[in-house]
Amino acid sequence: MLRAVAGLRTPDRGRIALGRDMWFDGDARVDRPPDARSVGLVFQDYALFPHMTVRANVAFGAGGDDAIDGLLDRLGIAHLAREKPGQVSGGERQRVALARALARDPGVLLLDEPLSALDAHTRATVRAHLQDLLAGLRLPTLMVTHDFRDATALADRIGVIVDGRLRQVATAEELVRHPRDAFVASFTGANVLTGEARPLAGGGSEVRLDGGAVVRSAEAGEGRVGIAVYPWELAVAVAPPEAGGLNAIAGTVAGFDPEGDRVRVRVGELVAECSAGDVERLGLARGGPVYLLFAPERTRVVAL
Amino acid sequence: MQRASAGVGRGAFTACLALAAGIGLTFLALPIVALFTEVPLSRVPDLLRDPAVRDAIAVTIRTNAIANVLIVLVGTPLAFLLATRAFRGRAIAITLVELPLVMPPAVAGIALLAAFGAGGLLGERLGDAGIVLPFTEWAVVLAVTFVASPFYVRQAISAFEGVDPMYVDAARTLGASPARTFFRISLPLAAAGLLAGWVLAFARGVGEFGATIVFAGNVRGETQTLTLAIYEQLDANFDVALSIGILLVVLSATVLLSYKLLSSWRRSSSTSPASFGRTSSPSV
Repeated sequence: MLRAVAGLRTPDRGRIALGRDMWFDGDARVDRPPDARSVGLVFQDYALFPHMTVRANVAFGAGGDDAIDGLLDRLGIAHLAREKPGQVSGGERQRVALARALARDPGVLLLDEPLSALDAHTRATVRAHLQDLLAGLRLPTLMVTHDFRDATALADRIGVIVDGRLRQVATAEELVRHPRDAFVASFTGANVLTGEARPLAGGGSEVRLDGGAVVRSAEAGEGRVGIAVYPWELAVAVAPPEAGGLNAIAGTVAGFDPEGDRVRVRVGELVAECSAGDVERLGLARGGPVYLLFAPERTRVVAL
Repeated sequence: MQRASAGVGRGAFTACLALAAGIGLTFLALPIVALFTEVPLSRVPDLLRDPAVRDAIAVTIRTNAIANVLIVLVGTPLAFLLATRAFRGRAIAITLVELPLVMPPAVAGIALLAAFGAGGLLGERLGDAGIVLPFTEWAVVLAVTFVASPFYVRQAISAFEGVDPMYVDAARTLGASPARTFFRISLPLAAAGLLAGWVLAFARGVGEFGATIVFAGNVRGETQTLTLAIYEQLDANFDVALSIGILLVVLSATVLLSYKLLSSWRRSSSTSPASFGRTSSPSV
């Protein structure tokens, strides 16, 4: 997609425009070459020119020479100006690539999986740095990523594309609150279970899950559906729920995945999140029986 | 018993290898040794001052200089086109480029004569325009260009193919025109490969004999290059022929050595596009 925007690949049809500036129009046979589009593309592997210094790389696309030193300073790579790209670290290389893309003062910034070439340790630092930079730029930015965390940290609006089709465009918050289908729900971190839904007289629906349990949702649904519920919406209990409106699914603990003082508890296909204190208080252990409780209001019905 | 026979068999095999290697290397070294011993080395500078030799050196330098300029000027864009564009007939074009490599030089000479000679394919029209090519210095230039060009063009194609298209794409999105991208990105990244190809073409051009003698003849001061001069001096003055031989062997050895240095530099250099392009995992 970014290659199409940059003019490196010709789409079969459609239109690409920046504001009123038409770059590609399949019907009108408009197809501007890459050098006539105002883009700053940061490649996944950065594509820094290996035979040029960092400074020459950044200067390559710049109109004048004056802004370059300021840009190197701003990205914290001024001390690397004379180095060749092969001699700097992965995180630094990414900043050089960013500086080079910004040096031509583009109308749009394109980031192709900007964090995927980095190891987990560098990734968090670079992500934070990128967050600050993007916030200060006030430049329309298109980023492609396979990581929902990268997307929530860096993007205002997120479009979920599956097999070349755009499934949903929304803020991260909205995607989590109302995922349009099972893929979006699962991509944003929800547990997705499948089952057969039938509408209830008083509104909402009842879903007979493939695992046998029956749960209720406040949302309408009929026929083959998925239900989506997020790990932090699942409560873990060791006793069966007393009569009440809560959905309950029984299972055994398959494993724990602690992160800080939160613990993700794996129960069958489901993942619940609770505090480390809860695990201790409830005496949870691998193989022990548990009940996962969740409210019908939090049980989303999604298309498969 | 079995172990002993296996040991004997292994020893005999190694002895066979060593014997073959000894015969092979002796055969290759003997003529070179003979070249340097059959004529006293102190006389070589004097022998090379022979007017015939000096004429041959001048012709060789002039014709090869022009031929090499032609090969690089036309061969580089040709190789770039063949390396970076997909089009109908590309395979045929590449075969055409490589053909002189396997064509016997005498056949190349007669073919050039058939093309540019009087009554040839183009010869008549050239003649009408007052241009006569065969048996002139320009014939030497054409013969050298014809037989030496594939060495450069083939190497140049693989050098340009070795440039990661990602760099070209990056340059284009940074606002560089295709021409600027070629000069600032593709050419520098392919430079070492181009140089290596040119070294080979140069060596082949200087050693050119067959096509030249058929198409350009052996006229002293005009078409007689160093290799043709050896051929003539065989009868006239064997020591002069040997001296030219020494000159050319020194030149060849220098060329071979610089080619090897170039290729090892290409492999080890951190700026080589191939090795850098794969460094996607960062080291912190």
